[in-house]
Amino acid sequence: MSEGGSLPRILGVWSAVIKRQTKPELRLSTGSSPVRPADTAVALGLVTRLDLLRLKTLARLYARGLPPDVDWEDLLQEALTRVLVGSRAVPADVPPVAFIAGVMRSLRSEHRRRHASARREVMEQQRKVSSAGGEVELPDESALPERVLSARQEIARIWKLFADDTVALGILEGIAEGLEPEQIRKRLKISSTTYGTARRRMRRALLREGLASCLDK
Amino acid sequence: MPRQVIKVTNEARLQRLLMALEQEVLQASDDEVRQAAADVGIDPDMKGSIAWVGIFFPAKLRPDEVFDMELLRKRFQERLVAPKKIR
Repeated sequence: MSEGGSLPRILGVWSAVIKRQTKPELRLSTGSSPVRPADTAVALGLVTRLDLLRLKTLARLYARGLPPDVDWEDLLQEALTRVLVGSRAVPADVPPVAFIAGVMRSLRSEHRRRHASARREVMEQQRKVSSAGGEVELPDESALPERVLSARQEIARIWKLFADDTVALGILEGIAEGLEPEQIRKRLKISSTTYGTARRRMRRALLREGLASCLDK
Repeated sequence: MPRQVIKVTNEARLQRLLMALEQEVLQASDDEVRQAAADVGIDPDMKGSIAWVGIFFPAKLRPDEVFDMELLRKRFQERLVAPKKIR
């Protein structure tokens, strides 16, 4: 992706077009750009700017498989807001960036639960309507393969990130099975140096993925 | 004695992977973050860098971030009360 602030440039052109409008209601809002939670978090020394890029990478990772009305930006901004307003207090022994990442993970679960619950309600209503009409009943939601399929798709997407790296894929397979690093090294017959190098490659690939294509979901 | 086979659900596998990848990202050094950014042609030190989309400025603009919504609302109400004649 090209660098050089293409978005501000686009916004600048847009702003110029709108300002040329004679109708005041179509002019750009006169207020300065609103302060976002990230500005406050940096100003308070809660996180550094590079921490925010780490969190963005994680937000993009967590947003996959969420309902379409929730995206990574929502996850990140909501987590920052919750921490800033104090609805989630940062424990003294946890680095704030790790805590915010945890909040995003919990928000992800919350959104998934909410989506599943809404879907269950719809299914229930459909089942009632079908029963009343003497039609065939719909299967129970738990029997649907949707959730299983969604998790499988997410795993496949993660695998795709490291498709060219057989060692990384082996490590991921071990992690998915719940193995300890030592067990993974033994299984893959690799040294701790090779293991460490593969993990560095994984980190870089993840960060690249998180920072690239900033404008899509 | 046959080995015990524990069936792991995809949900559980995904959770473990996400937790592990989270740790990887959190443990990445500042240098690693900068190098990854450089790999995709992003300079995080630039104020208007695309890296900050979704962080310091929105990836998707809401109407109230562009227009004066109060004024728009007022104008629409005026139009509703006294609609202009269409020529």
